[in-house]
Amino acid sequence: MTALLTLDHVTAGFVSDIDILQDVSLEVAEGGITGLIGLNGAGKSTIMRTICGFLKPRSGRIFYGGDDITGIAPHSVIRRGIWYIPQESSLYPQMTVSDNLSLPLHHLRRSGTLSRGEVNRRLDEATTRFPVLKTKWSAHAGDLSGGQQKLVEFAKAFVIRPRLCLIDEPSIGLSPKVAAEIYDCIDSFVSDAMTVLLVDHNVRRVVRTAHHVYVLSLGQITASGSPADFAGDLHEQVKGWLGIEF
Amino acid sequence: MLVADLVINGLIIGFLYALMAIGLSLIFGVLRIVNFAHGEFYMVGAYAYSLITLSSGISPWFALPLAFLAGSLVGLVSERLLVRPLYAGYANWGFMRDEYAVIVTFGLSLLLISLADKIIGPFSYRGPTLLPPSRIELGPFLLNGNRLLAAALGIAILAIAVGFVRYSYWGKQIQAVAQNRLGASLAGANVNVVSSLVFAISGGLAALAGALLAPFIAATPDVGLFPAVKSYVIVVLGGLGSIPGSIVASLLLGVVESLAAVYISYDYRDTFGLVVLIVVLLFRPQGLFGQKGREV
Amino acid sequence: MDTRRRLKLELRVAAFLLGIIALIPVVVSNDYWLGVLIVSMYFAMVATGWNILAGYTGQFSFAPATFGMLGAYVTGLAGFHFGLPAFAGIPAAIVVSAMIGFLLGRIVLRLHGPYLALTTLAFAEVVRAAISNSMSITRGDLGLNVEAIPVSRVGYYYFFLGALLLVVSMTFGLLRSRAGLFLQAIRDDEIAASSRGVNVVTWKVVAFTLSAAIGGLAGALYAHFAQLISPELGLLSQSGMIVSMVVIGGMGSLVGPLAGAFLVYYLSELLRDAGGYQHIVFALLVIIFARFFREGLWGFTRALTPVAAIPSPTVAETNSKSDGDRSISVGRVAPPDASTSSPILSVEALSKNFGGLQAVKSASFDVAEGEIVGLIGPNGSGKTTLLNILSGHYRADTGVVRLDGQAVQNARTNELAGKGLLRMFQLTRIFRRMSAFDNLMVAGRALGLSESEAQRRANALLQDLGLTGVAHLDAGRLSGGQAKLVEFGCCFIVPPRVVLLDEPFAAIHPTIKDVMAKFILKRNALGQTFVIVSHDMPIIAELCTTAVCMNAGEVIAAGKTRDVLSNPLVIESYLGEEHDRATHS
Repeated sequence: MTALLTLDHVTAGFVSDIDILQDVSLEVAEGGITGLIGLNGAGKSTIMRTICGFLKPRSGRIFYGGDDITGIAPHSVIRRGIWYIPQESSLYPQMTVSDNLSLPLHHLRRSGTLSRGEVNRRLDEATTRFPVLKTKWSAHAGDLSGGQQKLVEFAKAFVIRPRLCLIDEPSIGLSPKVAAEIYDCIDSFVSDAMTVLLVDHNVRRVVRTAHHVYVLSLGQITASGSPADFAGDLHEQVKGWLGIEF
Repeated sequence: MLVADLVINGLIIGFLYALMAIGLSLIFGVLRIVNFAHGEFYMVGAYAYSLITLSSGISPWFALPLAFLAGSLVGLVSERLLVRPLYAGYANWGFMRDEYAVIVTFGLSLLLISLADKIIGPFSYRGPTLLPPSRIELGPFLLNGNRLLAAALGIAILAIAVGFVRYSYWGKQIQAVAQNRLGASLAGANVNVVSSLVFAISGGLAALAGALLAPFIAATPDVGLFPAVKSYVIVVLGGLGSIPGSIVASLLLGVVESLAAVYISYDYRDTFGLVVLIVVLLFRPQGLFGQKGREV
Repeated sequence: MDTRRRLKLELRVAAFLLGIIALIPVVVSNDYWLGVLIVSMYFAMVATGWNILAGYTGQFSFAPATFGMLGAYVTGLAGFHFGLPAFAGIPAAIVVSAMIGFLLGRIVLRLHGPYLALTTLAFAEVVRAAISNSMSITRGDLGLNVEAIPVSRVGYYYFFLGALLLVVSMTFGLLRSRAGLFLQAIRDDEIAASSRGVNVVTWKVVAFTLSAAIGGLAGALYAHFAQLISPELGLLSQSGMIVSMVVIGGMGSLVGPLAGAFLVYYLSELLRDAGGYQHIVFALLVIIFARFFREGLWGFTRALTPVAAIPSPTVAETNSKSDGDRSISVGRVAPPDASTSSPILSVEALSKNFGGLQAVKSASFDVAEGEIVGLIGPNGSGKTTLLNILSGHYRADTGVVRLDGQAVQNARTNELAGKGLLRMFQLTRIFRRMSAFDNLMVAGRALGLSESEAQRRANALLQDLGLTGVAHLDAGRLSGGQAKLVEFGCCFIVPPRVVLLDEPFAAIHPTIKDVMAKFILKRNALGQTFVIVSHDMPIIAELCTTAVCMNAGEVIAAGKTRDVLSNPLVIESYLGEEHDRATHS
């Protein structure tokens, strides 16, 4: 499998003398899920923000589909087919669910990537695929429950059909039922040929669904391998990589 | 019928206040700062209208859009040079909860006033009214024709501006950036462009208010101070960042001032707004329509 | 650098500056320039007063000149209408200005940032307009004549200088006392300040009142010097000039307003002669300084003092002295109610609704003294809301919270801190512009310790937590983990009754987590009670003796940790199938 996204010795940080990411190199192969696990504070969200251009690396390069996208402007990643579902909400709370979904689509339409017909088609498909949209179509996104909001975020990814979807802690704070729906959703994205980079604190789940897993600890990649490498005494291995009792 | 007459006059001036104030609310919504040079956008409009009509033969009807453009331009340049560098771009996701944004725009205000004073001079310029003086009968009320016209134009422009923000693509992008900066960027909105747009709109609307009122309140370097203070009272009363709040508060202020000036005291007519503000803030610190932040 | 050390340096520079000012009349006898300096001293006083409010307490008010104007008019009107002489008019001006400042402070108490600035601006304009429009009382824009004090110009000069010296020394004294710590704490983080026990309401109002009183004094003196006053004294541009003086000189420093006032006013007079460009120049200076030199001129001198490089947290340092607690005698703090059977903290039928969302639904549980209770549950279960109610940040709709048997659900955060209920925040809240040492001092002084005792305990805690190397650097420069330790330490400067920890282990280095965990266990062995909110199951299992699980606003399980973690309800709603398998594999 070819690498769709490559991070090449990336060092980055928000404050001038603190590097959150230190010499990080990783590859996300096209198709399937690449997992990223690690403790809170290890820098997983920072990697995603750096890929999207919210943070410019101090050194190192980022390649996507053959292009160098290091330090790209965040508002242009959508046109390149990259979408990020952050841990915090990316919804507009005082706008309707329908506006939340259609605004990015209209942006793509204006930039020539989509036709009006295609926009409407995708919105229709979304209501079928995500029943919650039918009942809450005209509700303000901020009035929905946490679980419903997360589903709307995934519906947004669904209508945008990115080539690469960065997903950051999708199930945090969700009840198991909703979490299960979310994971089904991720699986369906993958079967639709989307590439996913998944950050999740649920190590078992990541190991089960990803085809390659990276372990990030204190800003550095400390281990990487296929699920087979993680089989066996999961506790011991991860404990060694993360450096703690987990 | 005096009360009704006063209320109508209050509403008229209220709509003009609203035209002035919503730009301020927009800026706060998107950038989380208060633009202390807002009154100076009004001044730019007042001067543009008056100077253009008085020095060249251009019809006052053309001077209005030119005033709007002048205000927009000043707003645009201010954002680009002064405001944008203050928030460190995308990497810094905490907004400018920064008193220095206040000081910088305050400095801008002083700069614009002193520049106007130096370059144009401290004399006042009063542009002509749009139509010859007239009195219009509206049912039982007798109103100054030009004031009514100014108010009507103000309402029309206000409606267009609100409609733009609520329904147009760019208006929705503005709302999006105000409500979730991260989400809006990911969805394709260039935050810098939106910030510039908001400053341009704000500058233009305030300038237009200055131009519409120029025949009644002559242009001087500090003509913007008073409308600015009124705007500040309005946006705090209505809740910073809330457009409906600003409109309601503007009308409320207009009516209260109009009634109080006659029934309570003419000399202290400008204090009533503050009294209302203080009373409201004692019970609702977030203003009438503001979002109460869950701080912890 | 610590507040105190900084202040001492600033006082020396200020004394030097004022010394020069004192000697000027010896060399200069030109009445005009002496007059310029006298007016500069007026501004210096008002600026110093405003700096207390804005620079030190963080309340950015737009009304400094208003209080100068008010002071001038009080003494002027007292003389004009009632024939009161200056020695009565000036104190009256101070008192009236202080009262109005007090009122303003109380009104804007709950306002922050732009709301505060705008409301004070509106206040400034309205007061000026009121004075301007009251022709019959104040003679409005025509101006009011004020009686002179029978001294020569040089006499006025030293009179003003005396007053300025008084103001500066008083300010120094204030800032050096615990007030200085509290005001800066309020500026840096009001919520944290209150959580440490600082009575934010009182101190904010004190800052407003003092600032107004100083302005009033300055204005009254000015009135008797200028002998003609008008509402122009309170113009927004005057307040603007005062603001720019402090910004250019250096906000939040003792010297800044002084240097700024003399410099700006002197320059303004020079420029006025040179063609009236002074306003343009100052506007540009304000913009440039605000944009590039946030600490003003005084900030340049700070850049000259060498700052040691911050040592990164080494394992050795953070591990080192965490086992020796010899320096603080941490005995059991005997509860007021001596019976050991009643719970130290009890929650009874607590409910909280947020505009339609029932965040907490009749939650009840007890915490016995000496327990470490883990509060767990999915996001949105209400545990954070519950914690916020316990710490006084939210008011419950119904229900009772008892601390040592006393109902405290309506107590304010700082009152609860005084009663021994301390908390840590999920997103670390410390005072970034103060040193780690000062952070601890705020907590210590707010909870009633004397200066020396607070210093002793602060140093001991810093040692215990391995922070002595960074103790005197600005806390904003510490790493995330170090900052967390500082906030953690603040809970213990006075032995608390209960410590509430909100996700204390999230996003920190394992070694720092280790320091905290060891500290918690050590204190717990001496009887310290903890309530910990966390998603970190291993830590909960390791540290907590009992656990309380919440879901959808209700308490669904409470008891021994092991039992709670294997409770089917808990597993279903929170832990999920995998965790069940994991704990049983």
